Amino acid sequence: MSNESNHFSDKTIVAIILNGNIQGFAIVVKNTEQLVTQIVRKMTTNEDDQKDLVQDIYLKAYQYLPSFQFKSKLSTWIANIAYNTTINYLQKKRIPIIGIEKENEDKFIEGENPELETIKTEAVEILNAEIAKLPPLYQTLITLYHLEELPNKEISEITNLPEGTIKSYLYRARRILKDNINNRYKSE
Amino acid sequence: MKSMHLTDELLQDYVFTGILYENATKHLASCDQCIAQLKAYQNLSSTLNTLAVETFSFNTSSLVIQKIEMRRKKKKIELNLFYTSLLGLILVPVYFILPMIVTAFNVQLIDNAAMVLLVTGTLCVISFLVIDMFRTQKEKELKISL
Repeated sequence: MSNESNHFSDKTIVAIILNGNIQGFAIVVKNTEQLVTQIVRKMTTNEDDQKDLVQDIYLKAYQYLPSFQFKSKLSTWIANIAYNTTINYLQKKRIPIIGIEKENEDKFIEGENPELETIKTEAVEILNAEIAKLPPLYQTLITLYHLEELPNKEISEITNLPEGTIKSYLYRARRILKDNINNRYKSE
Repeated sequence: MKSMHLTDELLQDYVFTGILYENATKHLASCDQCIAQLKAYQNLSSTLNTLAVETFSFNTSSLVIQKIEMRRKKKKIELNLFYTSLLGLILVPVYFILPMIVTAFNVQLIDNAAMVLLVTGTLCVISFLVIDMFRTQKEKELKISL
């Protein structure tokens, strides 16, 4: 969260927006942008669709703000809208959110120097490529837990999944990542 | 523990949350296979920690605010149109119905102004109920889409 936003609690900022100050909502967008981006980008690939989804998510948040009950953080509530909207999009497109675990089929690019694979940046590239192969839900969970560093409870509020399920999906996602990365190195 | 290897869950708990049970520590001291798995998870953990946060190529804030402003203007126009037609709906019947009521029920005793008030009041209540129904329906639709 930015310093500017730290001056405002969720209640204050919601009151400002409900009084008709649209710039208050701009602050909310700025504060939650990163979280929403992670959810949308991990579950969708088409940039035009991502653009539409982001607009749709924030429009829903804006329209539905008067009914926000402060039972969770505002950012969690918006992330929940982002998650549900993206899931609806995937369902419309008939894309399974879990269950499509692609095996490590791809080979290294020809001429790639194996020594360079030990370099951190390449490890990151490999990991990003492996994360991209995970089912959309696993990608989101990995991102929310490891990049956004959200606790399981908050992830549970965003995804409407029980904490136990999140834990077990995370175990599974990490195991897939570890196995696929190991297989890459073994195949060399 | 000696013959069986540590589960993935145990290894992950150790690497990602720092929890390690005593018998697991003993097993790790003597099992190369589990040590290898543990190292693989530790590598995964350190790489995960270096991942950069992804961003969009477009400016989310201005895009969203623009869209909201457009929506607000559109809604304002729609609302104005709605209230204008509602006012018309109220005034036209008052103009036509009032003389009919006066003649049909022979209510000359009632002051014309009171009659206008009565009819207008009734129509206002009806229109309020219609607006409320419309609003509830819209909220329901929003809830479903959410």
